[in-house]
Amino acid sequence: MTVTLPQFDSIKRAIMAVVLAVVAAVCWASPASAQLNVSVTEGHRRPMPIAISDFTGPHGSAISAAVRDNLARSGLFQVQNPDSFLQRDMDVNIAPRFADWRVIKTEALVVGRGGVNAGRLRVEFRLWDVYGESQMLGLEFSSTDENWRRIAHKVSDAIYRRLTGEVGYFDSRVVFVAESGTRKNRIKRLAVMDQDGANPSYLTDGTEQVLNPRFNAQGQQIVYSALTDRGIKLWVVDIESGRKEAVDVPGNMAFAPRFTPDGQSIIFSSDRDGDTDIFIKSLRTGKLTQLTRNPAIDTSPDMSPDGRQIVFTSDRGGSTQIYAMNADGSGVRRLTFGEGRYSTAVWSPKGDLIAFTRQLGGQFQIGVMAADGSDLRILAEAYLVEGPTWSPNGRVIMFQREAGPGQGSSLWTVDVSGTNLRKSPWSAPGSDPGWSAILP
Amino acid sequence: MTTALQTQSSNPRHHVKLGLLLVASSLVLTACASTKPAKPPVADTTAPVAANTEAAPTSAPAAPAADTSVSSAPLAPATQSPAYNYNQTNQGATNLSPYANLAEAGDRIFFLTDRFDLTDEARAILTRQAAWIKGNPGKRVIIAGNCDERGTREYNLALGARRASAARDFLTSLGVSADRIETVSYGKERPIDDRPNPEGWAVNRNAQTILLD
Repeated sequence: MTVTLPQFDSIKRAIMAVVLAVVAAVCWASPASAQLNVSVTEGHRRPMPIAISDFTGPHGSAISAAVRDNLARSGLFQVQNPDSFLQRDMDVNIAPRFADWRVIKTEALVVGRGGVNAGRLRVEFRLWDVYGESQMLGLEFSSTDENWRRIAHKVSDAIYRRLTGEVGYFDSRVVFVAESGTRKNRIKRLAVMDQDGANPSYLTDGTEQVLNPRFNAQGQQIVYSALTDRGIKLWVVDIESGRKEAVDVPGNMAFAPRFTPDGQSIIFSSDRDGDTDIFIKSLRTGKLTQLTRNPAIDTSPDMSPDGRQIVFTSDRGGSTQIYAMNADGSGVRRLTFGEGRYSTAVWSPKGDLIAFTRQLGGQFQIGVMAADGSDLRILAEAYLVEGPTWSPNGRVIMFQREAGPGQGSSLWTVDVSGTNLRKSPWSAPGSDPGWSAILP
Repeated sequence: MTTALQTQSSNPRHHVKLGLLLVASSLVLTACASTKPAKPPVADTTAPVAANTEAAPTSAPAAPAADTSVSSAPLAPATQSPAYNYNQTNQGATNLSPYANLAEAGDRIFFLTDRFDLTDEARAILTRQAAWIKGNPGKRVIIAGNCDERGTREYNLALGARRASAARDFLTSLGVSADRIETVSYGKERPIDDRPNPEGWAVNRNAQTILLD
């Protein structure tokens, strides 16, 4: 797939300009009619059949298509083919002919329309319970015209939330490394895109090899490491202004950076004389603190959402395993004890789970476990899978995947239950994804 | 940290390499032996004259068949060996080492999977590197540690740094001043062999010593 990438300015505008106001909650369903629900518990489940009729008005069919893609990709919905629809004369303000929709066995139906009001795009939609013959949700979003895609994501999130009871993740972005060139001369550029692969944009020119970028919790800044002939340095780029600033730390080998949840500090690892330890640097005061002092490799730190714990990768016990410690470096304890080598631990947004990479039997795996290391489950396995990152609602994990030896690396997602493994809509070579929070 | 410098006598790569080296050097010897005495076959009328001036290697002139006896004679007393002419190498007047450049000394050492201890072969190469560096005062080097693709990105950056440091420590133990050596790790980001198999991975697990300008 060839993707033409817009310049940085357009992403900046897109991020800046959005004020998606929920103008009117037209009507919430009464509790009595709210039996329609998607089960999101683990194990087997039946995707809910849902029909998204074509929205009328500006960007109408494109918005409908984006909503369909979002819901279908989640694996929780069976999105009906529009060709099968019997009723075509949809009006957002008129109740649908439910019998027509029961014929195609859809359980939920979305009807919507776009319009322009005072120069702004305004999109209204209603979610109907086809068998209960009642409205479950009626909402209106408005923004600038160019933000029609974000409106589609907001609509998707609202439907997802109403039907699953969980917050959505569609109005979010992914920072990643766009790869090009040959295996021996790989060009690695910092890139961001919407979670569905739309609106991709490059933030670096490829002269440095960009590794392991991460958003801050506020979604305005990205920290990454850049490899050059003489070393690897940390950078923070501000998405709004495009300004890049080097994070000043001693030595020439600083890598594996992540923001702390408050966005005020960066935890990272730094090598000195072959000894890699974990450090934290305050961006506000400039204070640098060493958190591990151990001759082993300590790297890939990630701070828990409550800011109290840090998980990291260490081979201090002889093999590469995942450890946790308190935020000040005290109380180190080992979390993984099973077969294989464990690394790249990342906390789920709720802080209840930890995703990780495991190497076992010549394969790589992505797995999750409870915060104390128990209940370990493997979600995906291939020649190379690495670098899990959580969707903002903790439902989906994105990672890089190389299906077999010599095949390029691309971005994939899997449901936290281990189902719904699929390639990201961004089909070009990519690695090191970092998922943002829900956009403000 | 303390770097374990363990001897790796059981490294199969090592033996293969040595074997290859032996084959290679015997090839060189044969080539010398055959080309030096070979004379252009002037009288051979069938040879295309214009095709090449350098005759294809022909068999060495046949040894005199008759005399199979072994005679002996005392050698004349040895004289002082001539001073080694360091300037004959193409590195210029500053090169006081027996190697023309780092590549001739051997600029890469190789490691076992997930290891950073030095093999005998690695030590031999580093010893030659040390000779070159000490013979080229004023020159500085950077040692870049590299890893195969069978590890996670961030761990491999740390592992590559260990490999570079192990090489640096060995060079300094041989008397190379530490301030002439920088280290860096490229992790798994800069493979030199694109074969995604054990042979390719073995080549990509290395530390390269690179001359800094």
